[in-house]
Amino acid sequence: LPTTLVELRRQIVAGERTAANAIDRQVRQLALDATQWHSVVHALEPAGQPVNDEAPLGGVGLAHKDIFSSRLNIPRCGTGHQVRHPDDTESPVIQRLADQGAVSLAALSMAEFAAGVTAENPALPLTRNPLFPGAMVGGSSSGSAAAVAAGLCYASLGTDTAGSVRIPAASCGVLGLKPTAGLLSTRGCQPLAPGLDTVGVLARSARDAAQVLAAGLLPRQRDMVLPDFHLTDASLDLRTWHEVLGNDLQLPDGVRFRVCLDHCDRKFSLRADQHDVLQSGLAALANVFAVQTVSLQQRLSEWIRLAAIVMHSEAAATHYAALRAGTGLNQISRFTTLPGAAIPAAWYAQALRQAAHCQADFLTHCLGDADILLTPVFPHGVPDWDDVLTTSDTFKPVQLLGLFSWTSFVNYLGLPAIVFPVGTDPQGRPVCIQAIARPYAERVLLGLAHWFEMQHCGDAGFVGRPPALYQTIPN
Amino acid sequence: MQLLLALQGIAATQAEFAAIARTLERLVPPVHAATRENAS
Repeated sequence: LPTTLVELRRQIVAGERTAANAIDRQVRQLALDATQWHSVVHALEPAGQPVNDEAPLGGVGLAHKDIFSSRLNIPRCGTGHQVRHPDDTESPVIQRLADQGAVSLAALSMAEFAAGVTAENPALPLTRNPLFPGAMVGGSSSGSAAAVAAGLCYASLGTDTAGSVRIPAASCGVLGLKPTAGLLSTRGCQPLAPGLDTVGVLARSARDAAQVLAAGLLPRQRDMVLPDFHLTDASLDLRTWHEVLGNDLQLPDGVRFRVCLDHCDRKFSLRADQHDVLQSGLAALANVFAVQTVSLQQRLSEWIRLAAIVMHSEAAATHYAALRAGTGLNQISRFTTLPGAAIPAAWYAQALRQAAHCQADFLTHCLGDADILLTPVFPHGVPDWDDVLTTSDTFKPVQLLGLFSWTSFVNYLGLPAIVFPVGTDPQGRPVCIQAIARPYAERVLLGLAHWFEMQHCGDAGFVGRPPALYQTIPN
Repeated sequence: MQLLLALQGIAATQAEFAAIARTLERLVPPVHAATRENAS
């Protein structure tokens, strides 16, 4: 099978293969997971899911984080048992993807209740990084990142409350898109902190992610009118989502960038080798586009603090009954939720009240006349599993905290962000960059990822040889 | 903090109290931190 969804669809439309043949291969590939990566919690029954050559996603196998309720799956949310959604609703995003021909192959592993930044979960086998042996797999959408990197599915939906799409994607060297808050419906998705929870997309190429994002939008959203690029530009081009994502993702001339590589907390200063790789990627960008350095400093510190207050407070409210009962949460989830029960209500109210002001401040003073702010993702690179496993003798808490040091504030500001690899460090592990844009400017983010992809990788996407696509499938 | 959790019917171990205290310490609004410094 080809490495990208776009190429698979081209082959099916051209009559070079059938959707049924493609799904058959993808279903059988899942057997490779159990002995190698542990990204799959359980396979879903392909029988009864229509396979249609003509449908926009016909022949495309997807697999999602085990947090979405659908007619095929009552999720386990990283626990050992089924967890009914509080409102007993099904995810309209999963349904939209099915309506457009995608087949749901499996429910994927995750940190319990999405309350962790790595794949660590005592209820499940430890997820292994398909491309970088020994490296950790980030969370909480850990199975999504591993399955996409391995080539078990073309794309995956995850959820992102403080970085839970972007962190696993960056650890496995794939693309992770956290859209604008609310763009993809969170209905039918087990909440953690509803004010921050965002449904996002993991994929091996920007065009694949754009296809899945467009397919996941509700019909009324697809007709929504959007500004194209600069809000400050006099020649504002208004188009609908449908037109925007259906078109080529080419990044137009005149897009402006700002860059911040300095974290407000010295614990999260960029390691020299990471700095060098990012600078090299930025130099390539600066040859074509305007790139200007900006400092976030005290603002960043305040946004991170406010994001943590909202996250802990809302997570405690979500799991209040379990906190009171003293059962039903593993140690990591309990540690994430428990502080929220002790946070003063006034702090939480103040954090909510300041959110709109902070977003306006970011857009006016940090982004200014630019379209995208670029930041690192992992200040210390992708760590070894032993460095971030809380049960390891060599556990390094700062390494664990560093994983979300650049991601959590984006959810508080409600902005779209994307991560993708721009190079590899001396260990051969991916170095990813994060791009943050204005609300509903997902196209410019995908355009940037596509630009890097074409510069560094070509048509095969960010993962040139996903292992599952090149291995013999056991009978 | 222990009283607050007890009032909510949430029992925590001493190790958890210490961890919660460290988290809360990081989240203190800046103006409160300044006030606390002045007070000391």
